[in-house]
Amino acid sequence: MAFLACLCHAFSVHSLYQDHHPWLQSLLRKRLSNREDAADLAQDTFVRLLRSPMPQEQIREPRRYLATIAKGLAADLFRRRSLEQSYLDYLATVPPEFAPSTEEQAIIQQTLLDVDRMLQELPPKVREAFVLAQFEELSYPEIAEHLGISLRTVSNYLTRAMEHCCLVLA
Amino acid sequence: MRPVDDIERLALHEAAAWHVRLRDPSAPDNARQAWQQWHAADPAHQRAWQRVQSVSAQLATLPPSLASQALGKPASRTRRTVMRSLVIGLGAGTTAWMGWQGLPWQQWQATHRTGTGERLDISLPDGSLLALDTSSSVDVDFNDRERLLRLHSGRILISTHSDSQGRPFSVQTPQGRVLALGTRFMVRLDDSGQSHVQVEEKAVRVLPAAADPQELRAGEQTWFTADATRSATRADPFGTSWHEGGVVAVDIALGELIAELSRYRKGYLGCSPEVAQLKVSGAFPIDDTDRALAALISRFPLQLRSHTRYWVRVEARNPQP
Repeated sequence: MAFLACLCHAFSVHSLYQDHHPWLQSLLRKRLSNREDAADLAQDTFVRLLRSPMPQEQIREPRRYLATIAKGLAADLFRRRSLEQSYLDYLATVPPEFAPSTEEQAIIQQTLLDVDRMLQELPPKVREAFVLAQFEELSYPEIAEHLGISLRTVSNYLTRAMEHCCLVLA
Repeated sequence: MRPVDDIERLALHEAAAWHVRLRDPSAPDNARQAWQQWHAADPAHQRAWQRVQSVSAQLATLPPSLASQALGKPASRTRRTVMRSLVIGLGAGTTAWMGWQGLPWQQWQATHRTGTGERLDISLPDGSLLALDTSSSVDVDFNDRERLLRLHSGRILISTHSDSQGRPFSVQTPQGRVLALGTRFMVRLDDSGQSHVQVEEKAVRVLPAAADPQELRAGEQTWFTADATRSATRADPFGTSWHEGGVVAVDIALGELIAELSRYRKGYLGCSPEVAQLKVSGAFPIDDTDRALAALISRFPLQLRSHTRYWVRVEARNPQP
């Protein structure tokens, strides 16, 4: 039965694809101003839909639903590009004799993406407190002052961020 | 299985809390003992701690400048404002300009200069602190690729601040470059055409124009020319005392001390050859060299010979009847 449900789902996605793929792609092309990105994202949107357990009869407004998924994927793409650019900018500033090996570079880039994804799941202030403590090396009183929160809240935020880090990264 | 998950989850929360607590330098001394008790109390605690340590190590692989720029909000802005309020004031010897209105602060350029006996503390646009010693001149050139200081004369002391954009910080001298690796350090142009570098905190990389780079750690000093670097030696622990307004001499030749004091004084200040090798010690104010000289002759068998305020020589005290 599960297989049949799965098959039905695939069929319904297939019909959604036939009905709305050209529309979605032109929407994305307007947004992204890049033909290949638009084609990729339109494709990814349907792949996402195929993997999601959402039954088709619950999709009342397919175009709106597709647009929401596509928007999320586009945001991910932009974020990833921006992180990649940050990394390239950083690399350009590193003197050649300090430049990390290709393997180290791959690890750093992947870690950056992972940590970023993890941080996006936290409330903005928790995220900010974590970045200030971990990467700007501000003291706890400085963080408290900067964010306008108590020292106890700083500890709570940092604990929460670290705990979340462990759940996601290790 | 559920209760086990809860135990693991609680242990993880506690481990994270311990991690946060022990990272705080103001944590009480007994915190570490309390942590040891907690750690030893349960294998679940040990597993959770292991997990926190491994994530912590993973986070440490990210270069801080990259991570704070890429992951954070522009958080250092407040820090900058705080730092700026510490600035003693831009002296008359400072000229700064913005290319045109609305140019981002990253494009900051300025020239700072001090006259004889003047000192100047400046907060740079990224939050780094720059102090100029007497008779010094430095260009500040911050652009979107790097934070560069060009030292033309004298001596500067720098405390770098991590940059939201991860741009490297370096000091250019006629002989080469000194690259900061997150640090407090001092660069001086010697009269002999060498650059002197002394590191107070962390490290710098010395990049002579035409010789191999050399890394210098906290507490070390070196001299370099365009094509050679001396091997590092232990730095003078009082090397930055000028920033506090004094020169600290510990058993040094009088000639050396006088040469140092003369940098802060207009006109001629010297000593006669017969006393140049006399060993002297003490702390001497540089903002008031008259007082420094008075302190010197009160403690050592010396006297001053002067023609007006602008010509002073330290000599051996004549045996007075």
